[in-house]
Amino acid sequence: MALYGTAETSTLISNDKKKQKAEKNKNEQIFAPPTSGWKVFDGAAPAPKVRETLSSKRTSSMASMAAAAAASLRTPRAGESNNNGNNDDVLQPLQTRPKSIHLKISTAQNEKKTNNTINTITDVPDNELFVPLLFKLMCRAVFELGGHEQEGIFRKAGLKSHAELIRSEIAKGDYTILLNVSTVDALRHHKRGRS
Amino acid sequence: MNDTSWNQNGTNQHDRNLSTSSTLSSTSTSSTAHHRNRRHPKVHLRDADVAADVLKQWLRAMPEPLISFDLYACAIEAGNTKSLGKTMEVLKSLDTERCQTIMYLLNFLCNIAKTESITKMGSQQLAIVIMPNIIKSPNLNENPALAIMNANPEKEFVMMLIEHFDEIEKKVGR
Repeated sequence: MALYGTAETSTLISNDKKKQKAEKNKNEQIFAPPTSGWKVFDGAAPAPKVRETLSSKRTSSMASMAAAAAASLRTPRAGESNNNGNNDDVLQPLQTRPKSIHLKISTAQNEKKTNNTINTITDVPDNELFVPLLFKLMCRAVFELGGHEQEGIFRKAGLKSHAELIRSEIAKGDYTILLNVSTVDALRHHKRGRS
Repeated sequence: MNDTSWNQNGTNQHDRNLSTSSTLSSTSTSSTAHHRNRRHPKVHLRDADVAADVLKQWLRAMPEPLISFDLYACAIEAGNTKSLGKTMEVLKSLDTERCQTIMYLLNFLCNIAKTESITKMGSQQLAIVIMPNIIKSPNLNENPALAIMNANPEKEFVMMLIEHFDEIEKKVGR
């Protein structure tokens, strides 16, 4: 039996600390944005309830398709002229390609309990294909919670415990907390704060 | 579901634990709140300051900031000379991911800056608070004094980005 302060207990304590540190580091890694290229972040994050992985894969593949299409438009094959009728037929679908891509993101909230599915329709324009969804959701949350009508937004710090709680939720890969932001809740919160 | 786990106020132990730790969870005692809590026992984001804090934390956690290390010197030069042309050159030199993300952020900050009379956060104030999260010296640990010296050009650079966003958007594109 080990007594407090003996070598045996100290190793146990240090092991616990190591475990906690490793867990913290793991959370930090998940929360941290990518090192190079946003795809790294998609790979490192756990399977999110919001099917972001699916959508980002889709958007990135669409982006690569668009890039390939643009490249083929710029560099016609040797021996082929642009006036060729067949060539025009081939390029027809590329020319009529829509400027924005329509994405459907389905979010399962409390799957075990309610089995409710929230379907969010999001338009992703070409110029936002590489913007991380998490980043967009955070910006949207600031705006929807009335950040643009609140004195000292970004200057005043929020409660640290709250921010940590939100951060840990996001680190789990669950973005529903950002999707469920509602103006009504924000108004209630402000009223409570005033009273 | 076991009703005995709910107290007279309509909150269970889980809710009480959350309500004592933070106001993020529902603390309402009405019956409607009771039902809402049963459906959504999770925490809720209700404070814009907290959301803004998390956003800043996310940007700060990037191993390489949105303005990449290789373009730091160019950004400082653009800030020092207050040259919009050089600022645009920096943005054009960024990779697609970073460029699109920073343009999205700038658009968002521009919208915030429009209500300066209410928020008291103009482009200068926003530049001061956002600057450390999107632009960092690559030699911050080795030479912190240099980073302090560059604080003003960094601020000028970010301020130009916010103030001239419309022009930048037209020329650089998003």
